Amino acid sequence: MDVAIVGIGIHPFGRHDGVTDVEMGVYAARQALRDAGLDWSDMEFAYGGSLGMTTGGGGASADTMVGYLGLTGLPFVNVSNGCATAGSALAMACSTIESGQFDLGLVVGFDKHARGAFDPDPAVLGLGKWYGDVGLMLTTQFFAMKINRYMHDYGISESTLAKVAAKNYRNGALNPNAWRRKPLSEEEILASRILNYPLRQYMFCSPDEGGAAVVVCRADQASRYTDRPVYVRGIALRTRRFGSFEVMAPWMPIERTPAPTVDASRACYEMAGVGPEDVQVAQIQDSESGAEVMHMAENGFCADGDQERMIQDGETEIGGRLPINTDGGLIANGEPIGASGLRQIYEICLQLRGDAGARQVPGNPRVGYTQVYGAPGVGACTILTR
Amino acid sequence: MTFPAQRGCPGCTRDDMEEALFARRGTLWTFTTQAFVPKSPPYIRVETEETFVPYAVGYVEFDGQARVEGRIDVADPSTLRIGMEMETVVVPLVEDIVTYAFRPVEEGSG
Repeated sequence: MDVAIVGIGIHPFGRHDGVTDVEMGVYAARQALRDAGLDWSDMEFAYGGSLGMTTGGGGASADTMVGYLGLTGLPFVNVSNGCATAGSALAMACSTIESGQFDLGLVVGFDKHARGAFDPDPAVLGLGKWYGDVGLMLTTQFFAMKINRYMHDYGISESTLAKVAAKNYRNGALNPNAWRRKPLSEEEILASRILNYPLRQYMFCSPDEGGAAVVVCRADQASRYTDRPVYVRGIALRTRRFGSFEVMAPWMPIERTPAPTVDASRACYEMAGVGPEDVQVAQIQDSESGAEVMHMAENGFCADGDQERMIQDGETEIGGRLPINTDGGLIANGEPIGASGLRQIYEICLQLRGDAGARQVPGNPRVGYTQVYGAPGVGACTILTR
Repeated sequence: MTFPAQRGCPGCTRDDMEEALFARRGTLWTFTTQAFVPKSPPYIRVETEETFVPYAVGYVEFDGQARVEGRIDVADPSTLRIGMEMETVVVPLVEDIVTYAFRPVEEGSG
């Protein structure tokens, strides 16, 4: 993979009454362009991710951004691919550059979700209306059922779930762009009410609003725009295979196969020529604290069950052996789906540049990793190096 | 087996699946509770914090067939345990509409 990230931008995540979804995307795009010392008119192509436009959420399609950034006539492709929307947009931008079609472009994602749990129309996910009728159309139930079984099989404790959330709130407090910036103790998290057993209110992330963007170019041209490029060494997207346990599934076969994250992760490591042991900082999907625990194993960072010791020993803290979700993850940032994967990449770029301030991982990390997972059973990973 | 029934097989990609019945009893593979009010739609019941009664959902494994997701008909979800024996029942959902659900098998009733 010969693609470099030469500019990064983000609109703070959270609630922004009076600011439209597109305005957040434009804000992030302009910041990324400024970071690269470029203008919108320099962009040869763009991919824009947002989920709102396809789920009845009333969101705008990303290409309406050109009305604000400038009608330059560039090819602008809308991307909506579930929770892997941002990862898909970046993957296509990388392919566009690798193919030789264009050398320089923008990837942007944004969303502005309504308050409360996601409430998609079952038909959007190919499900019958009955599935929503009976009260199964909630992503939170899936995460709860997956971690409930996982705790049963691998001995993960409730204390470990609380420690993950406490870490992410603590990291979020150090991140000026995060939504939840108040640290919460393990005790406070364990005292919050159970929403979906065994998960409690403060263990969940919430849908919210935000935008993020990166400027990408051919790796051999990166020095024209920055002296601190971050290289995309691996990027992979996979959908579920027969036998994986997925969100909003009325049934599953008895034989289990690995989750799509496992497949995407392996492909990504192979492409990058590095292994999980080489990763020095990671942003992984923490829709709730159980997801972070399970995704640690799915991304190859440990064996199933080892998370209990690793998390109790603080290995995933900013000063630990493998810092995870240094910007507070989804738990502290919330999830505007179109922007979420790019928020992870933004954070890894900061960490690899040494620009992460109070939450900077010590030791000048060189290899970073990102992963998103979500409906309808899709995972996307990247490996980034400086 | 799939649930609901469908012609195409997501395992082998063929499209000549036939209808078959699930066993009446299985074991609880995993479960959770729904303790906050689901949005309606898609939920068929329009509830408020005052009227809402939390419910449980889970996957029941039918030996040699598949795991099926559904509501669990249980008065006290804290009594649920992974691996317990469950049976399929039909319960009211709203007026005139019923749904399938899973209910723990009482000891001695087998």
